[in-house]
Amino acid sequence: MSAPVAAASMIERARQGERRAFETLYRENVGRVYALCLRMSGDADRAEELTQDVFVRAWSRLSSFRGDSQFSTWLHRIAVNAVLQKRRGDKRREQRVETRSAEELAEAPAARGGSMERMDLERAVAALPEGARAVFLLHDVQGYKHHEIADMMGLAVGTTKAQLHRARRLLREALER
Amino acid sequence: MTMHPGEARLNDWLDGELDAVAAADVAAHVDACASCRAEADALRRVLHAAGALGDSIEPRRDLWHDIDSHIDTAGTFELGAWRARRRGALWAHRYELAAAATLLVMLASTGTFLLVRNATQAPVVAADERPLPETMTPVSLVSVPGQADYAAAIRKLDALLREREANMDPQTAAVVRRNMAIIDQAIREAQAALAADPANGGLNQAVSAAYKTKINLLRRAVELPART
Repeated sequence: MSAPVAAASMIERARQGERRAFETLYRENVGRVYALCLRMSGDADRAEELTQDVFVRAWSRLSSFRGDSQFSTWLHRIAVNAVLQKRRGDKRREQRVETRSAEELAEAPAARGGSMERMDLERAVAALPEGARAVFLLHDVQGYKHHEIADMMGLAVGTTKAQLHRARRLLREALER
Repeated sequence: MTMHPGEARLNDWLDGELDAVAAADVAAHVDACASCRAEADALRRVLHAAGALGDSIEPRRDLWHDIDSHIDTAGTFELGAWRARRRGALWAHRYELAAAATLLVMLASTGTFLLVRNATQAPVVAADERPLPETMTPVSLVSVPGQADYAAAIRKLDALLREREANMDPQTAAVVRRNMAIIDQAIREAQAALAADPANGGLNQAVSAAYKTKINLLRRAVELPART
């Protein structure tokens, strides 16, 4: 069975309520979802909570997945929305994020196996102001377009561009230190 | 040499967001200007590093067990675990929830009024105080056999109420029906909101609370004494 057919079959079985099938989808996608949640939230505990939310949401919305895009893309969009929703509702934790996230990200399994430059960048990204970090991750790491980011974040395109340019400038400075 | 493009234009150029003429302009400038070239190279290094970040990080622990415990094969949610985690969402919906709470208080008061008024007329039969299920059922699933405790309880009590209505004081029956209409409207509105946002814990709780209120009101109504 080809990969897309296998995935479609897995999704259909999950849609019928088969947990084992949904667990397979979880295992195939959790790394990407968690990476996004960790980098965007900058907090490992929060990222775990968000990741759980994302998969519970996905389970409850499986019937709305029409297969127009890949399952991972659909799931990713749920994750981005979950993170941004949480971010809007929870501005108070900004201070905690900036102090904890750098170490947590540097200690993350992917970062442990990575190069010094990558670890430095993870730390530098974690230390970015929240808005600039979100736009940088969505644009430069996840590949979203400015108009998509502006739409998701409820900002003007000019604002997301300004945030991105600021993020790149701060990262460049951090990496040159 | 043309003017320095500036940070925004340089970024747009690197992102391929300039039209052909503007892009050629910036490219020619960067080629001739050492400081802009250095600036562009530094930005390219950031972009290259971002591209190499990788899009997957494994969580510190396996999260499946927690996810599995929050869902079941019918797509239901266990409220207990979600309540604590959903405080933020509840706060975001505080106005809707406040309106729902007002309605529920009003209905509870009406039920109490009916009980108090009738207590002077005849003794009230002991209510069935079995606790309602801890696992709530999303409205869209109320017809699923074995999962729809609320729906089943409502159907049973509603049938009982219709049987007894003929012997009920007409004024009391009218009050009961009026309040049933209000709570039914509240349930429909909460259902519609939940259909639009199925994973919203606050809305799930609002629907659950509305069902519980309806069941309590029905229970009390069927226990009202017949007219004298």
